[in-house]
Amino acid sequence: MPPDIMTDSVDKIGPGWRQRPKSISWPRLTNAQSETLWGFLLIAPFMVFFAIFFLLPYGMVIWLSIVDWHPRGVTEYVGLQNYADVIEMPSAQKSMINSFYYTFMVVPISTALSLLTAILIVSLRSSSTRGFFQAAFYLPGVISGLAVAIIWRFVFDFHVGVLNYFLSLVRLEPVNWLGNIYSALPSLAGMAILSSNGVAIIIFCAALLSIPSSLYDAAAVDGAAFWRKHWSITLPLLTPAMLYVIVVSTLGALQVFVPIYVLTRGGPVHSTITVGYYIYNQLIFYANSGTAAAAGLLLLVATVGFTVFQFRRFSQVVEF
Amino acid sequence: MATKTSLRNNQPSSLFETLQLRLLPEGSASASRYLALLMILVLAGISLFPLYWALITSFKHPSEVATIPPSFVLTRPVLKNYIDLMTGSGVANSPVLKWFWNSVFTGAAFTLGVVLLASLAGYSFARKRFPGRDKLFWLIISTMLVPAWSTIIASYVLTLKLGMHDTYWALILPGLASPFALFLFRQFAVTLPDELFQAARIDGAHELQLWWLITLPLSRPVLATLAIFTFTYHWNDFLWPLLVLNKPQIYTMPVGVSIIMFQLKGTGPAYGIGMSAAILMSVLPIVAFLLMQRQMIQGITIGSLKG
Repeated sequence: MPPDIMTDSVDKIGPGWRQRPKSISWPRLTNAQSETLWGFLLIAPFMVFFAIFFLLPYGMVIWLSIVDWHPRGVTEYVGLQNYADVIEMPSAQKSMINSFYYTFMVVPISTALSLLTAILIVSLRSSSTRGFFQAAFYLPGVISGLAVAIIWRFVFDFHVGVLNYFLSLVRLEPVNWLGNIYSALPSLAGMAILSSNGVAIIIFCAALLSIPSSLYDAAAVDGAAFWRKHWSITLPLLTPAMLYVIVVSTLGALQVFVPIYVLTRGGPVHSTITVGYYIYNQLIFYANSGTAAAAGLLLLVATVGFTVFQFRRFSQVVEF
Repeated sequence: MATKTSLRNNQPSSLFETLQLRLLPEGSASASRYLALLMILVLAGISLFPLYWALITSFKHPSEVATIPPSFVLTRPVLKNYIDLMTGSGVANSPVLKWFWNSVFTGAAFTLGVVLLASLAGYSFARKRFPGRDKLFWLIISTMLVPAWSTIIASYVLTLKLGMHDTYWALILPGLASPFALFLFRQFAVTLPDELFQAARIDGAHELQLWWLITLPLSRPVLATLAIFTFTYHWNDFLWPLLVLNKPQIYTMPVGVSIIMFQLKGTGPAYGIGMSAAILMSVLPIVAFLLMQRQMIQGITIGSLKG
C-alpha cells in the first residue's frame, strides 16, 4: 500500500499545485518572497497592538509634555514650561532625591543578599533540597506587591506590629517605622530588600550552577579559602547575571510606587514621595498631565543614564 | 570519614547520615557546613515569615488579631475575617466576589490574547527570514528597559480618548502585545529542530499549519509557563487598574482591596480583614507557582542567561 499512497498524493497535488496560481491569478512568489510575506503576516497581529499601545504612547508622551492638556477643553502649546515646573517644584525635587536614595539603599544590599543566599543554596548537596530552598525564596515574590505592602503595614505598626514586639523583647524602645521622617524611607527599602529577592536568587543559582566545578577543584588544590575562591572565580564569571540583576532591580527601584501608595502616601512631610508617586499625584489629583509627562520623560533619561553607566562599568570588568 | 565512604557507595547507613547528606552543604570543615545550613534556614525563615504571619492572622478571631504579646501559633482557626471581607461589613459598596470575578475574567482573556499574539509573532521571529527582522525584534525587546512611568500618562490619555476607561477593554487590550512573552516564546521556538518544519513543508503543510500543528504542540511547557507568568502579572497588577477604573463594580481585586484598606478604621479588625484580603489575593499565584515550579524557574533564567 505505501507506494500507492505516494503516487496518489503526487497525482492529486501535482496538477492542483500548477493550476492554483493561474486560476486566482496572483503574482507568483519566489520562496524568499513568500517567506517574507508570511513572516510579516504572522507578526502583524502583535505589531498592530504594539504600535497602538507601545509606540504611539512614546510619541504622545512627548507631545503631552509640551502642551497643557485637558480632557475637555483647549489644549495649549506651552513649550518647555512643564519641564521648568517639574525642575522648580520642591515636591518633584524631593521625589527625585528620594527615588535615588531608595535605589542606592535597595539595589546593592538586595543584590549582595541574593548572591549570598544563592551561594548558600548552590553549596547544598542534594538537588531536591536546592529546589526546595529556591522555591522557598521565590514564593514571596509571586504574590502581589499590594498584598506584600498590606502585610508589612501590619508588621510595621507602631502599637501592635511584630517588629516593635521583637524590639521590646530585647528591651529597645518601639520605633515609629513609617511615621518618622528619618526611618520611613529606610523602612520601605528594608521591606523591598527582604521581600523581592526571589528572581535574583534563581538567576544567581542558575549562573552559579553553570560554572564548571573543575575551576573550584583547581582552586582547592591551590589552597584557596572560601572568600578567595568566590572573589576570584565566582564573581568574574557571574558578571552577565550580575549585570542583568542590577539593571532590572535598578529599573524596579526607580519606579517604586505600590508600597508608597499603601504604606505612607508620600508622607510624613514628603519624606517618602518618589518619582512614581509624584507622577501619580500630578496625573490623578492635580489633573496635571503635562508635568506628569515631563517627569516621566526625565525619569526615562535618568534610567537610561543608569543603565548605560552599569553596562560601561561592567564591561570594564569582563569582556563580553 | 564515614560520610565520604557512604557518598561513594551512595548508601547512607543511618537516618542521621541521610539527613546530613540531603541537607548539609558540600565542604570539608564540619562546623562551617552547619553554619551555612543555619544561615540558609534563618534567611528562608525571614523571607517566609511575613507570609506565614499573614496566613495565621487571617484565621484568627478579630479580637485576637492585635494582641500584645502576639501569638505566633494558631490555636483555633475561624473564618470570621474572610466572612467580614466578603460581606463588606464596615465598608459600604464592596462586592468582593465581583472584584474576584473581574480579575479572573479579564486575566483569562488577557492571558489567552497574550499567548496567541506572542506565539504567532515569536514563531515568525524565530523561524522566518524577512528584512529587518532582527532589528525589529530588538526594538520590541528594548522597550522592556523603558520605565512604565514614562509612557503610562500617554496610555492613560489614549485609553481615555478611546473611551475604554471603566470597561474590561482597558484591562485587556493595552498589554496584549507583551515584549516579555514574545521574547520567551521566540527563545524557545529558535531551539526547535529545523528538520521537523522541512518535513512538514514537504508534506504540503502551509505556514499556519506549521504554527498550529508543529510549533504549538511542541511548546506546551513554555506555553504553560508563559500563561502562568502572564496571568500572575495581570492578577497582581495594581497601578494600571488603579488609574483606569473608577466604578466599584468594575474594580479588580487589588484595586478593591486597596480601597477597603483605606476606608477601614481601627487597627485590630482592619488588620484581620487586610490579612485575609492579602491571602485571598495570593492564593492563585501561589498555587500556580507550586504546580509549575520547575518550568517557571527555567522561564526566569531564560531571560538572563540565554539572551
